Amino acid sequence: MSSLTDRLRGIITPNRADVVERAAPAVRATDGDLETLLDGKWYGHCFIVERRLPPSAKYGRSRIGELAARLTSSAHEAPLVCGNDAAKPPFVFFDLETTGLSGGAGTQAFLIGCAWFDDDGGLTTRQYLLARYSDERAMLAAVAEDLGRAGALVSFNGKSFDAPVLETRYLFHRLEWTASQQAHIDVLHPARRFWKEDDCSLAVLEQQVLGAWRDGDVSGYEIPERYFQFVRSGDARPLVAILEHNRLDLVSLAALTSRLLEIVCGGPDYAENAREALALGHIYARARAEARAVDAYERAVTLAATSRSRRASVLTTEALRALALAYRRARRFDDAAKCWTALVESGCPSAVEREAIEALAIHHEHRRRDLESARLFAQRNLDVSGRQHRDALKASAKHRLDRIERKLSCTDSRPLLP
Amino acid sequence: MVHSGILPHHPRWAKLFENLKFVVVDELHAYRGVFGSHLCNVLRRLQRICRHYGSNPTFICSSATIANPRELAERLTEAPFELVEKSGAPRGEKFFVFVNPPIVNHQLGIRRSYLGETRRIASEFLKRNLQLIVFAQSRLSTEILTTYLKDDFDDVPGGPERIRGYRGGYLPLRRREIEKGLREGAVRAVVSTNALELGIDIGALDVSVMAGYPGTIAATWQRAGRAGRRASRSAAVMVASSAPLDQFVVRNPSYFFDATPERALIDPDNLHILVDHIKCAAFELPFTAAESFGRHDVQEILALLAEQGLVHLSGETGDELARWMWTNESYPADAVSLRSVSSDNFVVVDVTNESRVIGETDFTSGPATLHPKAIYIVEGALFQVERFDFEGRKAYVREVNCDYYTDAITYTRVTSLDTFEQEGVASHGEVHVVSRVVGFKKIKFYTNENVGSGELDLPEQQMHTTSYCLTIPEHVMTLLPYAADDRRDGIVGLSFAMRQVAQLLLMCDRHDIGISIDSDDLSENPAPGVTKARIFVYDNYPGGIGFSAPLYRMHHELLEATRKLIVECGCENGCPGCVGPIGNTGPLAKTAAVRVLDLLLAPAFDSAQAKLLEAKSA
Repeated sequence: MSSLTDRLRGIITPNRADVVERAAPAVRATDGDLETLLDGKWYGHCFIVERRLPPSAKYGRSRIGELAARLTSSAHEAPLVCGNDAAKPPFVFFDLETTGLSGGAGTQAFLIGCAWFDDDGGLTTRQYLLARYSDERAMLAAVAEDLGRAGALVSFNGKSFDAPVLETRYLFHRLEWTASQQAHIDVLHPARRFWKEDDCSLAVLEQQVLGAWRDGDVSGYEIPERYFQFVRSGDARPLVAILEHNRLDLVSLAALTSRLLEIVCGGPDYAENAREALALGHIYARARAEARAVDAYERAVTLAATSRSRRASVLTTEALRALALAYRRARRFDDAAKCWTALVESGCPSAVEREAIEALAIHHEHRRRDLESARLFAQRNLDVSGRQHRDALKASAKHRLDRIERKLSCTDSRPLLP
Repeated sequence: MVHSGILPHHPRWAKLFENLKFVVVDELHAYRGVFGSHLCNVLRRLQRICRHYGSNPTFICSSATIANPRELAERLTEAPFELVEKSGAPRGEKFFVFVNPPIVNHQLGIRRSYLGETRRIASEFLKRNLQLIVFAQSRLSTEILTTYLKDDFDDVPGGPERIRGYRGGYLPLRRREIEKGLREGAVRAVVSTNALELGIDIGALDVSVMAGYPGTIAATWQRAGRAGRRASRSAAVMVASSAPLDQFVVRNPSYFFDATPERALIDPDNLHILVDHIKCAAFELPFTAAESFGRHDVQEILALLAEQGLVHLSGETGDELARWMWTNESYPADAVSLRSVSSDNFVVVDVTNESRVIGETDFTSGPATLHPKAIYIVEGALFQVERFDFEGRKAYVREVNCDYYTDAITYTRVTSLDTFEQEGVASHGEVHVVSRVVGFKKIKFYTNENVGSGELDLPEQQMHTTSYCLTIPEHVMTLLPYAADDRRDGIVGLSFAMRQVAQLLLMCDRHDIGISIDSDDLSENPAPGVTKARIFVYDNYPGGIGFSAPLYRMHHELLEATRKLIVECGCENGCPGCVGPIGNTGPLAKTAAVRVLDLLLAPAFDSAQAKLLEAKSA
């Protein structure tokens, strides 16, 4: 042992308990072992694991064939979800497993999973495993072909994580990253709206929305270390669970996308609860499909009224407010006023109450030209704003009240015409 | 930015790296010591990435006056340089004045306080409405001088407000406000540490006054340059303190005006620093099995990192495609701070009224400045530390009105771990330094009387570094015809003088080296009889920064020059200009120190003689 090594030992202190075993690994996997263990094949420099779920296979509450059919029939609504008119089939679902979450040149995507529905309604998953560091370039080139065929890429949180990580890898190898020009549906954001605000992970969604359960799934934080174990020892066994995890993520992603587009295409009647209807309304509103948004919000109000959920009152408030705004955009002012009135009567949070009262004051002053009522609302608005200690709001409320009172005094002093 | 933002994300900057033609490094002289060693490694990483993208940029560096700008540039970038050293910029007339405060006590060699003298001179300039900057040696003396100057202008309306203090540890907002005041002329005088020496735009001032010799020729010119940047007349005044180095410079002005300025030293291959950057580099771009990085064998270092699971060699050694892959989830650049060895600090919380943060202090100097009962000064306002939360890295202070400040007493113990080279009584090697703040003194403003003290129980601070070591063998100690106390004084005095000479020979800042004595005579339970003593001059940075080996090679010069300094000093029994003031050392310190040096330097003192003496004493 050299003196450099001795001195280094004093400096590079073991930071964790997991100092790597230096003993020669019992299993030094050959290429053949890799194929056997992971049931994959080498294609030149790419190690690929391909699986197919037939249309008859069941996933959660649905069959794969049904999911495929629904997706096909609702695919034309994809632009609504992703905000990009170019989004069209075929959809290619993708999901990465990486060596870290920090990003940067040292974070690699060691497993790139792609999936698509076949013409017969089956689902094919194709996973590219980085088995040797020197193969990364070849792997990325092959992946580019799969992704390149897509009319739209579909991911879960891929816009902020998977795509940037992949882009860095392509740039690293001086390869062209074409996906930035493709339509990309990130299911995370609509999923959050539709189903779950907090802890909106794929695993939670697939239980709640798809009724699918996983057994012995590997947890996310273990994944990089398992891969490093494989890299160091050549023993591919720790990878088996990761490939399965990634494959199920892809299947869930495909199923969720199918359900999501089904609701968006089918409209309010397909919404199972107030929350879904409300989320649907937001999607339509964002795509400026005003009439459909109004329908969805009306349905949300109805469903919320009969909801037994803990969040029923919150949903009611949110739905009424969204509906009021949608009516106003559609210039259905009387309907909007009904919603605002309902909000005020429902005892909603004070911020929404203030907004509703203000809207009613405006409505009575400018649309109905009922100055007496307008004055009452303006006065209430001032009171509520005062309670909230918001000076700017208070000033504008005062301004409105003064104006209405000025108008009122003009009207009063004007001699009545015979 | 380059270190933790751009290099680790280089694929996203591919266009930049592909087309990179020039890299400009301004204020090159600032990149010495730890900072320079880090920068050299950042540039190694930058050049590595450039090679990956097929570019080979040219480096352009600009530097203030140092002895070896070309050498420094070549060390930092590891590329050959052309030197352009003639300045065509217009220069105004500049007066350079050295002031040596008069001796007030010949016998003890005590001079009038240099801080008092600085205050007198600064006040004179201020009364003539000249804008000036006063450089003090430490944060403490900055605050003391600020207090003094504010007092001088207490009766002038708006006077004290136009005199400001400035040092590291002030919050950024306060700093920006002072800088702006200086540029606009609203602030007439600023008292600063080296924080305002370079980099910060404060405009051109009329006068620069230095309280004490800044320690290096380069720093002195840099500070003098803060006055009269345009072609106007300006002055720089250096007030010498009683420290040996100051006295040497003020008595030999030619040393300052004629000698070449200091050399900037860096040690980019300090293992602590190198290993950190190898991790960063491995993250950015896998090393090949044949690649090098720095002076050490990077393959051996990578093999050790592999044991920690940080990297893994993919492919066989000798295979052209084999690469050291980064096999860890972390982002190593985040864990490496370029300016210091540790990025930890203490914040100072004022609890007089509503709690608010009024300053911060780096980790190393925290215990010495923020210990319980310490007086913490911000621009002349005095605060006392009520509680020092070492674990939470906080000190809670309350504003007080008192007439003293505190000075911490630090106890340092050095243990030798490994000797790299040894010849006779000199050696250099690796050491373990433990320092602990054990107490403090209360010192009255103006009179500098010691008005009390206190004991403290604070955690130790430790580091591994490299050190030069002088051993004074047992038989030399035996030959000293003095009592144990006087022998001890001789060694303490010798180390006091040696430190100054070492600083001069190494041409480094005073904080770059530390000194410690290891002797049984100094311990609380001295062993019976006479034992050897050792003096350590260590690099004051973890891992060492490259001073100990050169000092070891200059061993003879060091002893000769130390002897010369002591012998040629005019005092009788020691003074602050040679072995330290009487009071710190005993009456025989000077004599004993010279005696030790004579014995060590005697030509007959070779190893055979040494053995003989050893046998005799046994």
